[in-house]
Amino acid sequence: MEISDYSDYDLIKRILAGNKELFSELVTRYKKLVFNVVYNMIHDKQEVNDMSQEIFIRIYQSLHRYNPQFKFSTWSVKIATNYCLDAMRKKKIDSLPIDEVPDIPSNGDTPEVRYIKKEQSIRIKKAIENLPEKYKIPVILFHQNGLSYEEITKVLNEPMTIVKNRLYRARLMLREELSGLRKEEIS
Amino acid sequence: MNCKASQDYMMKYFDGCGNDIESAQFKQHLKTCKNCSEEFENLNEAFNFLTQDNGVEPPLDFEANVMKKIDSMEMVRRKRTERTLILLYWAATLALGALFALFVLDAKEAILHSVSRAGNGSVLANALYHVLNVFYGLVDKSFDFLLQLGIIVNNLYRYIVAAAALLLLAARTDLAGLGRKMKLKESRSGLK
Repeated sequence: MEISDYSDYDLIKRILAGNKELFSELVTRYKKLVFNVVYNMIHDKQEVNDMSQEIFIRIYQSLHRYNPQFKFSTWSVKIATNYCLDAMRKKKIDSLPIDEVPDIPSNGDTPEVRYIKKEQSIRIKKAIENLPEKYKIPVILFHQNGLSYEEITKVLNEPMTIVKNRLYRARLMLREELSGLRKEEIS
Repeated sequence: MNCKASQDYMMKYFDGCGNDIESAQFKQHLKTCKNCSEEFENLNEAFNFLTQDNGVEPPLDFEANVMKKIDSMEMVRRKRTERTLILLYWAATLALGALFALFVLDAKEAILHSVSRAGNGSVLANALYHVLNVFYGLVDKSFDFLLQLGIIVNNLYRYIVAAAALLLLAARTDLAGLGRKMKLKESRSGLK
């Protein structure tokens, strides 16, 4: 049986038993997820790399506390989110400058269409960036990282009612922001 | 379905819930209501945008760097435990040594007595007896000296404490005085 066939919990049991090199496999499995979570809150690529490393070290140090009842992805997203929030609080960053929007595959679009699409992406990105942190984070966790409501309550340590409320408000705010922009354009 | 219901359904839709009946009614409403249609479109695009790859990839040596950091962390921890153990070892040795010395001193009479009895003419035993005598003599003298010192300190301790207090007070006022002088100098040069 290959290392990549082991379940997350199997790996963790072996790591805790002394096979700490196996942690490298766990890192490989979840590095993209952690990277994404951090990147959505902090846009400096160098910072994202450093912080992601620190997060995995924290994960390693807390492995004995992992409860297999919950998905490892949820647990690591929780650690990553909390680490980022702490870092942002210390540096007092809330909203960050907008980063490069990656090129969306064009599949035969004319340059004009591509330009419009890119502009739209930038607008959307700006609208999401402008959300206050406590509304932005549930949006990112739910719509980008695909966590369930239940999982989000665990990551943020907030009751379900608050999580639902925040996501609801966030969507309303986004709707406002985006329709306002479109209307400006048309007029 | 009216706009209010449609907006409510929109939320359910983005939650990934909502039954087929509501879904059909919603689609129907969007066909006729431009406003809701636009709002839905906006939000849909926004959330789709989030799911697309943001093109951020961790570097290839990411795992290696993490494992390196973990290894060095463990090494630091190991060295620290080693150091603590060595310290404890030495402390234990010294403590045992001290206890042993105390015992030897305490049992001075008994030891001298048994050595002299065991010896009975043997050169080695006599030599040991002499060495022990000298040793105990030195210990006694040093104890006497320490005792004298202790008596002097005891008599003078009031004066020693007073002197120490005065010194501290002088040091504080001195420093405070110096501080004020410095500030005066600064303000004068500032005015100029």
